[in-house]
Amino acid sequence: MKENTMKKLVSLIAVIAATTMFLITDVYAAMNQYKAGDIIIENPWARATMSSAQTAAAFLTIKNNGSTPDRIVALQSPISQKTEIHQSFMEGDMMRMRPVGVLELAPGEVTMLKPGSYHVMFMGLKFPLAIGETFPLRVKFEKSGEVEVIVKIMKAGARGGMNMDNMNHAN
Amino acid sequence: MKRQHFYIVLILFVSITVTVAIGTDSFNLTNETGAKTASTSSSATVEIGGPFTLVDHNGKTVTDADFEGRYKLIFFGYTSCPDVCPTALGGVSEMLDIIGKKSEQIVPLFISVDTKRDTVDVLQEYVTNFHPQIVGLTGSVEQITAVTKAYRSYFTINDDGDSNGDYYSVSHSSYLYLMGPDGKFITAYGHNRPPEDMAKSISEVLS
Repeated sequence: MKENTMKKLVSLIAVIAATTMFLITDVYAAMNQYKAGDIIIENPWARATMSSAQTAAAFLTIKNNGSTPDRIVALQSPISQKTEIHQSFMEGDMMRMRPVGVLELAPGEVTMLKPGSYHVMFMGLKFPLAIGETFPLRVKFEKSGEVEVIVKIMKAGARGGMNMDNMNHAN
Repeated sequence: MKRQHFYIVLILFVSITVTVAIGTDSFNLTNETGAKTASTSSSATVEIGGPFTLVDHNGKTVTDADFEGRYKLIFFGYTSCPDVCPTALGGVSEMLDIIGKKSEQIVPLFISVDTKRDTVDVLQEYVTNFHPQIVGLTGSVEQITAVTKAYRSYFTINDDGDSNGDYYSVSHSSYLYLMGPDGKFITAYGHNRPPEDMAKSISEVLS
């Protein structure tokens, strides 16, 4: 094979690889999926807040496709001063909330941050969340690096069941 | 390498990568339905409900007598509640829409147990974000304590906020109490009761 052809081939492969990566990223975004190593985050959403709101919550689904455990160690978003994972839970008849320091992600497991359970808690909201808009949320894992996801803002009374039309429903 | 071979490799490479990307990483979301009904039942000895004096989201002082003759769906919460209260109020809003015209017989009352932050203005913006039929109620600490006691409901203001005390959470009972036009307790629903289910149950009670 001529050296010239080899060079052309290498550069073509590079272009194809770059295009493919771009396509994959695009496909993920279209499906509301985000990837960091073996971790996949799906369908991040939040509820619209009123103008004076100091807090907000976001929900998402995380799957650890790897063979080792990982954990969420930090979250960051430009919408709030503090961003943590909290958990709603029943204690007797009382509905309570508590901060969850690190969220464990067992290998092969799907962890759902959903109403009535875990949620991303934004404290010290810098501006209200308006329906139809989006905001970024950076999720940092212990082993899988970090990823920025785009959170969609649904109506104030969204319950998380009806807005997943673009998800892969097999059941 | 022949040009032809190169294209075959290229097509294979792209299709395999895309297939792997789409195929392996999709997983299903199962929605929480978590139907839960309160086991509370009315009995001769434990009365649920009673008279109250509160302030509505328009700033008007109201009593239980103002809602007489209508069914009431009463829920305790607070507007800074990021999870449970929006779930409950979202569910109530959907339930009202499912029932339709007949739902005019019901007044959902959202009683705030966070007297410090939930002013009339805050409450007004909050409830109208959900459904025009929902009435927000607030009051003095004494008034709120009295009404929660009447409903065998509890709340605790937690000191888990920041140094300014702005983001504290409030623990509260999360049942929705259905009260009759006569003010008598009918039944209670869990805050995450699916709206379709609640609509069906309430429709059976409505005239």
